[in-house]
Amino acid sequence: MKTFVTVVGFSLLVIAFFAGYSSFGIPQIRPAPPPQEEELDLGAMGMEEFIALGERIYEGKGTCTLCHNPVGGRAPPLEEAASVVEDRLADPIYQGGATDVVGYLYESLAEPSAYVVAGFGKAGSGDTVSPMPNILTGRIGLSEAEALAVVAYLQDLAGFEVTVDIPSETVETPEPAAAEQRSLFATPEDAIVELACGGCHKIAGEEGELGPDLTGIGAHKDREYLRRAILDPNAEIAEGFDPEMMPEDYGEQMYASELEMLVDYLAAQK
Amino acid sequence: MGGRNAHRQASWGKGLGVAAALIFLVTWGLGVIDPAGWGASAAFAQETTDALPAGVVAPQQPSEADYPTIAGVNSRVVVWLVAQLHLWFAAFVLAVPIFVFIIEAIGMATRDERYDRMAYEFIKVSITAYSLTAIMGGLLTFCLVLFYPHLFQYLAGIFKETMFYYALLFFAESACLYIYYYGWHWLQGGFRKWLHLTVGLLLNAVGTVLMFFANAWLTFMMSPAGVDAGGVFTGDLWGAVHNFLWNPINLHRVIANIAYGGSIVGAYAAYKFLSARGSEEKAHYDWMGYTANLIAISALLPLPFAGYYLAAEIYAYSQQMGITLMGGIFAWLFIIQAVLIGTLFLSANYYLWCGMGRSDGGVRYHRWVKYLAIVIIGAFLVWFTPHTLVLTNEELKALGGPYHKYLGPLGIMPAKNTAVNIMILFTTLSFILYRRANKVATVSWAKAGNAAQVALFAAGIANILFLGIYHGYFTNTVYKVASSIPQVATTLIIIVASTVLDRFIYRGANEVGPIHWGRVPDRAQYALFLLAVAFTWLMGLMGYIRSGIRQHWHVVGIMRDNSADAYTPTLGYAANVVSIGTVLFMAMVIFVFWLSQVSGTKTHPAGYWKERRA
Amino acid sequence: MKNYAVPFVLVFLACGAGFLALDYAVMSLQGLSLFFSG
Repeated sequence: MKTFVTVVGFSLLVIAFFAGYSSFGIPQIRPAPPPQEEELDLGAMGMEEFIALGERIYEGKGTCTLCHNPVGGRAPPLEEAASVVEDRLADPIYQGGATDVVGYLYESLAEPSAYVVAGFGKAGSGDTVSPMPNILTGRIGLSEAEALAVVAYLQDLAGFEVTVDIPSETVETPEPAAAEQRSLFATPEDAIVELACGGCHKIAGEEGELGPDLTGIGAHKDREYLRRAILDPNAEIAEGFDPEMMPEDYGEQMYASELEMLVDYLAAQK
Repeated sequence: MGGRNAHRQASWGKGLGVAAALIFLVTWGLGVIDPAGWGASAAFAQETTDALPAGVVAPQQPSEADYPTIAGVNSRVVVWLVAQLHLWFAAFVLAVPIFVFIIEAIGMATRDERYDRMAYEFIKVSITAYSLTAIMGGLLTFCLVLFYPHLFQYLAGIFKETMFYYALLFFAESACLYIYYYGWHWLQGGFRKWLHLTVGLLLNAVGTVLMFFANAWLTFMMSPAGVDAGGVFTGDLWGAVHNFLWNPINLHRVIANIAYGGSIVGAYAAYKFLSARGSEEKAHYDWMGYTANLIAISALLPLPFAGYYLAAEIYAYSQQMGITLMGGIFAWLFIIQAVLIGTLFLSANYYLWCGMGRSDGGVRYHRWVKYLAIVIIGAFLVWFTPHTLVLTNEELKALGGPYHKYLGPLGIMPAKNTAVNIMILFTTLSFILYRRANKVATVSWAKAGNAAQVALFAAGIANILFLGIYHGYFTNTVYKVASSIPQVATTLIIIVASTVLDRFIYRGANEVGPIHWGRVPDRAQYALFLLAVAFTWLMGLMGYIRSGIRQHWHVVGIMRDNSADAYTPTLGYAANVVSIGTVLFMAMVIFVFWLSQVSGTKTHPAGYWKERRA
Repeated sequence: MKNYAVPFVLVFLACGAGFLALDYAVMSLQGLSLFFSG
């Protein structure tokens, strides 16, 4: 019995020590409460309030400072973010489609991998993939208005004049725009340029190396093969090349007449 | 003639055993290795896509009012405690068969019946624990269905097949366990013994598969896969199971279970030792405690690396989660973890140092113990030093920044990695010294062999220090993280090489003082209790971290937690819940141990039963 | 003394070289050099 009491007493003491240390031996951080959907009265906001909203999001719901801080060195500092945009847009490694400061900053929230600052890429990706998530979805899920507020804040932070337009009401994240009606490709060369075939293939003066050489392809492949190779590339892979490389959606990017025009062109390459 | 028959049967048995081993390895391998290359994942996905019902599996986002309240209890705390209790028991009942299997095999190889009896005693302890595991599991399922119906509906919609097979597999688990235990004395000798061992192997295989199933559900909640951005299930069940964190959790839990099971059994043996009457009983439980501690330490050595791998994978999946874990609000929890792990290492080492006294030859090594203690305590202090201090503005001004000028640099990961590698190496040293305590080497090259051992350790420590200090303080983040891998490799190589080398040095050694089992001070048994309690509490803490890192999400990024308890609590609060859980668990374990003892007690009530005419 | 010192130095140097080779190999596998350059 004595043993039992001693052992139980010892165990309770040990547990009390750990519990006590956790409560009194280390600082009691009260984590931020779960983010609530803030009712934004955008119509009533002046630019000052909009920038202040951006700052609140930057330090709160957006969790930007979790990574963008000088302590951990995990993400580039953002104090001068607005000033470097010009250089970034001109940089050959830039993959995105923005044309101005606001566009670039907004894009870096939605598509962080469009430009990865040297040394901050995911391990093993050679600085081509950013570890930053898409801020507009998933865990953080900022609305478009909130994201624009952050952009405004960043512009202001770098000492620039804010050129963001305050959205007139809480805008829904826009649906991906349906492919617009475009005019037909005039020539096969136009199609090849627009569809970027030369990025992977040697064709029409382009020197792509990732896929089979298409000069003279008409001499040994028939139209059936050529049509299928464009619409369903993985049905048959040329010897020495990898599967799953060529996009499979070219069928949705062309009109039937354009497809036939291309097939004719390739069949004529002898 | 009987002998030949028995031999043939034994060969059959061996064949069966080998076949079962292969089956086990394959099943386990399938869990660990990605079978995508085998076409299995495609087949799996195909099956489920074809069977996909018209209804779509998507998360419903409940509002705060949709969370049921029952009997006024705090649903989060209830589920937290029940889940943790289930996990503690499950870890125990999965671990015990692993080392019972190994000990039984050793007994069969050495034909030493003491191993067989010890193995039987271990499995006896886990039988009642098995029922409690199942009870807790059932209670957990009820609680999830009652308190978090929307979450459960979503998870069940995705994982329905695995949950179904999980339930059915318990038939197999129970069958194996009961045959293994109840048939222990029946299935003795020759072929029957091999058959018995095979049942033990199957028990382990089924248990591991069960754990892997459950691991899929909880890792899905952290790193969802097989669903689109809106959480709609794509039909790819294997993708959902084989999500990013599944294998890291599988590995970590297998190793941690063994360490944990060893510590609980060690506590059992320690208690029996303290209440033993007679030197033979004391000797038996001393040996048992030593074996249990040995198992716990062996699994404890690689455990920090499995944990680091898990954290690294969390980081690779989501940098945000990773940083919150180690650099944000959960960072201080890891300081608590450091205190606990330091306790574990110190406790295990202390037990070894006390144990050296079992042999008279142990006095030769007493003088080295203090140096081992100094290094291990020093490494522990480094591990326990925080990097960034959470300070008020006044404190910040006084200190001149968020770190301590001199101690701050010790808080970064390279310093901690170095410290833990050193702790592990010196624990290995303690163990080597302990093993040498009762022997004197007789090989002619013993001196050179000793010199080689010291040189091996010295070179390894120098390498670990080089990697930690140079890459830790003179390079960048990528190098800092990458250098931890050769550090780990160095430690593991030294553990293996030094153990092998010592075996050769002590080949044919003279026993200078026999091991007197039972001749160990009582305080050594308290080291075993400390090990068990600290381990339990640590597991509770880590369970909280793993679950809490989801913060206000049921399924990260997909299903929001909108309950009133969605907030992340303070560390003190979490520690208090873990402490309550630990006390509850200890109470249940005491009950379990008491039961295994009371079943052998007989009372002869005088005059109670009717007299029977002879 | 010599019986001890000689094997010690030999094994120390051999292991040291071995560990450095290990470091180099493991760092290379991760796409990094052993020593940091800018």
